[in-house]
Amino acid sequence: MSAWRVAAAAWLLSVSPARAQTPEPPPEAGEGDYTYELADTLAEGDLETKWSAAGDAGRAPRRSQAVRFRARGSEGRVRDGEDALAGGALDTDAAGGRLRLGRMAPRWGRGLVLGAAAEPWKREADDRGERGPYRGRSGEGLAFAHASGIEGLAGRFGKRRLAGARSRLGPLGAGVLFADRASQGSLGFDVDDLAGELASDRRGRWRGELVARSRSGPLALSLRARGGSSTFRSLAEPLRSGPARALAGLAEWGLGGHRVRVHGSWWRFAAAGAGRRGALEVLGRLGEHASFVVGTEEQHGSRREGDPRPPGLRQGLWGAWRARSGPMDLALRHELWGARPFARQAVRRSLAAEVETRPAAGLSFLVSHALWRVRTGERLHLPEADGDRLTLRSLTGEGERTRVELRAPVLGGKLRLGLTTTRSATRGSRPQWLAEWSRRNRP
Amino acid sequence: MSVRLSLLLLCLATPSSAQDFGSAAAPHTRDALRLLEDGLPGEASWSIGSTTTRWWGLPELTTRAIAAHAPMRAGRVALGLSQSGDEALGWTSAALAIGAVGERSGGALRAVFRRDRTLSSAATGAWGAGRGAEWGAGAWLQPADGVEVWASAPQLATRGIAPPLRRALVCGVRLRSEDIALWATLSGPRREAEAGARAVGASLSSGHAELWAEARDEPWRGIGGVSAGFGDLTLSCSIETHPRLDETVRLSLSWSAR
Repeated sequence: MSAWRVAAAAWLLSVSPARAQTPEPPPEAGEGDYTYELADTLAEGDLETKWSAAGDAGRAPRRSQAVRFRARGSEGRVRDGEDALAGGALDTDAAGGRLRLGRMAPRWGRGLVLGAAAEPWKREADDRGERGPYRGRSGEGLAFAHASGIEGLAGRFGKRRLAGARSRLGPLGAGVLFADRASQGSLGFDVDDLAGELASDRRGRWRGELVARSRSGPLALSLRARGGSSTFRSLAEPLRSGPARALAGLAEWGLGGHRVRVHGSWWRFAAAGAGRRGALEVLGRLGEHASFVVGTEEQHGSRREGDPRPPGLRQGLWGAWRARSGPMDLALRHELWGARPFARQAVRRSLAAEVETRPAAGLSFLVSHALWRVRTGERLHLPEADGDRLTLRSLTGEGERTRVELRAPVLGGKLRLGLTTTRSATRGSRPQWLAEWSRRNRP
Repeated sequence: MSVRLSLLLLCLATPSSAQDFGSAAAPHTRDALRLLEDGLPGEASWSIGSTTTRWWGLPELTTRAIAAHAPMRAGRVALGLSQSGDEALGWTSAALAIGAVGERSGGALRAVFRRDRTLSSAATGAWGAGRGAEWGAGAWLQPADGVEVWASAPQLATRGIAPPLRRALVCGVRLRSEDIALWATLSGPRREAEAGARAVGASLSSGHAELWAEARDEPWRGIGGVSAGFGDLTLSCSIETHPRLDETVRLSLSWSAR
């Protein structure tokens, strides 16, 4: 993309601000909505309880309950009922290490064997490992990590029973994962500016990834290369094995209160099924309570393996703006993707606004509204932050979505009442309601 | 109903940002009419405003409206009445907006109720039998001196007969110095506007007079307006051109207890 187009795109977005680029659902997600669980942590000694009910016209209400606690080195959470995040996990100190029981999303090294190999256009998978912004749900079972660096796990990942062990010695790590009649091995290392993993299975199929990082003043640079057999599949998460070959580079400049990110990547799943992306994103602050993001990206080729009809050129512009003044927050977001350069011949387009006002302590009122228009065969994912989760609404066709929410302190906790209406040309109008009460206290 | 149908068909070809209470004043004016039309509160004085719109040069498509505005500390309330079209085929609208304004932000909810003028005053029945309603909201915020960002979604929900104009979410930003204002807006995507409708505008003010102009796309067209103040009275006129249709002319008169 020429420099003047980038400058023009930045100018265009600066006069019609919106919100950040739409996150993309992971490869295993179907065509429906996808829900991420935010990886927030309780303070020591906190106990949180939550009851919620939700429903829509013509269906019985769906109820769910959740309990979370953190105390004396233990942390647990249980969520039941008809909820996309239903399940439970318990983490506790035991026998000189850390024991986990229940849902888990572990990652070894670069995630080639366990923990999802990052897609080429991402630095790491957002919902795997302990440091991601989202809490993943790749498997369920028992895991133990000893302080000496030895760890083991056994459980069910998807439809497969797995057991494995890994040992870390300084920056080095080696692990083996066993399934029914298969096994995979992993050798990894992670030093200051360099990390890598080499994985292989019994049949000699292999995959390797190397990441180099460098920082010089305000500039941070990372380069990633992946290679290996196109038929190698992670035993734990085959759908997240990613492309066999990939090259990616990411540069970030810190310019006072602003940051500029430039990203480029190329990948290939097999002989057919290659793709590439390039993106420029500017993140900035306007004063103390306002921030913005503007960006542009060009995409070519398949994003997922076996895509029968990979899209051609897609060029996108997006922008986000959020500010707070007194009791009011206002956020705007705009996204435009086209099949021709400079986002012409629009295939996906959305505009959203959200207003939240807090007229009194603990009381808030939120109205959000989004419109979209998506060409047949395309899909747009509209991010919707909702309490402890981020839901990517999968949208197609033309429509609009309105959410009204009231939050108030009730009975020592927080009450949340919401009404959401989705109107689309194909599905008509679908009102949905939500009632949730939660309380956080110290037992 | 043919008037409404005509208006609807015309609107499909010309995304518009105002209908029953559209004002001829500059788009950044925050008066009673704007509060009812877009849910954007502002002025801190009692006021009364009236407006007449002749759509696309068609005398039978004339809208007349009157509105009153009352400030109550931080609260803002506006009430209005509007009539469009002639007695046989037109409709009447009543509107209410309630909002609040802070030091650097403001927001409001607005509701409009419509009924066909041919509907008997004694007639009762469900929504849709000559009756309709819509409600929406708007908000603005000043992140820095001289900068204002706003969003207006005047039709978050509708009930009964469809509104004569389908109005999408509009977001905008305005930069203002003492006498000059520049703004840009973006409308949400709709079937009739493949890439959405964008607008840029500018205004110059001097003393009690203000001159403004705006250019819009989908299709390309321009709007120009002038406002002049005479004591507590303000007279405004605007003309909107169109590549295929005749001009839309608005005339507004408002009184404000300054």
